[in-house]
Amino acid sequence: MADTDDPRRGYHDIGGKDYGAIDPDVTEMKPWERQSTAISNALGAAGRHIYVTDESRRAREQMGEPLYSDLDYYERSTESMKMILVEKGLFSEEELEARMSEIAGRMAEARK
Amino acid sequence: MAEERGTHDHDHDHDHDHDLTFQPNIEDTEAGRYELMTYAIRELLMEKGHLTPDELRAAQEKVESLQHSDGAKVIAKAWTDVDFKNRLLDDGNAALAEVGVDAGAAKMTVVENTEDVQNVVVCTLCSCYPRAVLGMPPDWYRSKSYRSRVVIEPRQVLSEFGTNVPDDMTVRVHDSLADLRYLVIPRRPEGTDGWSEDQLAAIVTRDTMVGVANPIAS
Repeated sequence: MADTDDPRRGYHDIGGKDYGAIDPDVTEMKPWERQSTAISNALGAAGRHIYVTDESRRAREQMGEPLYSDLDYYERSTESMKMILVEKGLFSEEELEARMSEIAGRMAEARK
Repeated sequence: MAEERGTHDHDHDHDHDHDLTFQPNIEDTEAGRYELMTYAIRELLMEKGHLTPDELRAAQEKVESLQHSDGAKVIAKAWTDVDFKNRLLDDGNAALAEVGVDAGAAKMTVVENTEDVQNVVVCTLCSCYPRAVLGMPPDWYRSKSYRSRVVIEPRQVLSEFGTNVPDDMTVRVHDSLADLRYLVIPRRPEGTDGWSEDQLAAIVTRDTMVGVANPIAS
C-alpha cells in the first residue's frame, strides 16, 4: 500500500516527513516484549532460519497502513512474526486466537 | 528476568509440561492482545517442536545481556588504540569479533566523529539498530518523529537533544537497513589524557554512539 500523497513511497517509508516533536523519555522493556524478541531471535538463529530479518521487514511492509500505524514497536514485531509463521504453516490464525483466549482465561483465573 | 511459574489446576487433554504452558507473571492489569499473542506463539511453537525451553531461555538471556556498555568499551579501546580504531573503521564486524562481540549477519559500519563532522544514525524505514553493541533501541529512536525528521533537519533534531552543532561543521546522517547497521565513534573529549579505558568507557553513553550527543569529561 502506497502513501496516498506520494505513490512512490510505502507507508513505512517516512524519512523526510514531519511527525512532530521527539519525546525523549525512555521506557523499560516489558517482560512480554523481551520474550517476543527472544522468540524471534531464537527462530532466526544460525542453523534455524525459520524467521529471518528480511522476512520481518517484509511483513511490516505488508501488514497495511492502518495496522502499522496503530501498533507500537514491539506489537508490530510480534504481528510480523505471527504473519510469517502463519504463512509458513507453523500454526493457523484460528489456532493462535483460540490459544490466546485460553491463556487470557488462565491469567484471569490466576488473578482471582 | 526470572519467570514466576504459578500453579493451576484445570484439566488438560494432553500430557502436561510446565515448560510448555508456563504461567506468566501476574500483573494487576489485563494482558494486551500482543502480550497474549506472544505467550500463545511460545506455547504453540514449543508444542509443535519448533522451539525448546532451552533455546528460548538462552535467547532471553542474550537479549537481557545486550547493553550499551559493550559499545562503550569498544569506543574506549578505539580511543586508546589507533590500530584497533582503524580496523573498526575498515571492517566493523571483524574488529568487533576481536573483542568478543558477535555483530551478527548485518554489516556493521563504524563512522568517526571529527572536529569537522558529526555523524548521526537513524533507520527511517523501521528501527534497525546495532543491538549487538548498544542493546535494544530507545523509544525515541523507534519513534516516527525521530525517523522522519532527522534526515531533513538534523541540526534542529540534534539541538532538541541539547547538542548544538556549529554551522561550519558537517552533519552526516546515516540511514540504516536490515542488512546495514551503524556505530558512531564519538570524539574523545579534552581533559581525558591518561584516563584508563574503564574511565573512558564510563563517559561513552548510548546517545553518543548514535550521534545525538557528545561525551563530556566529568
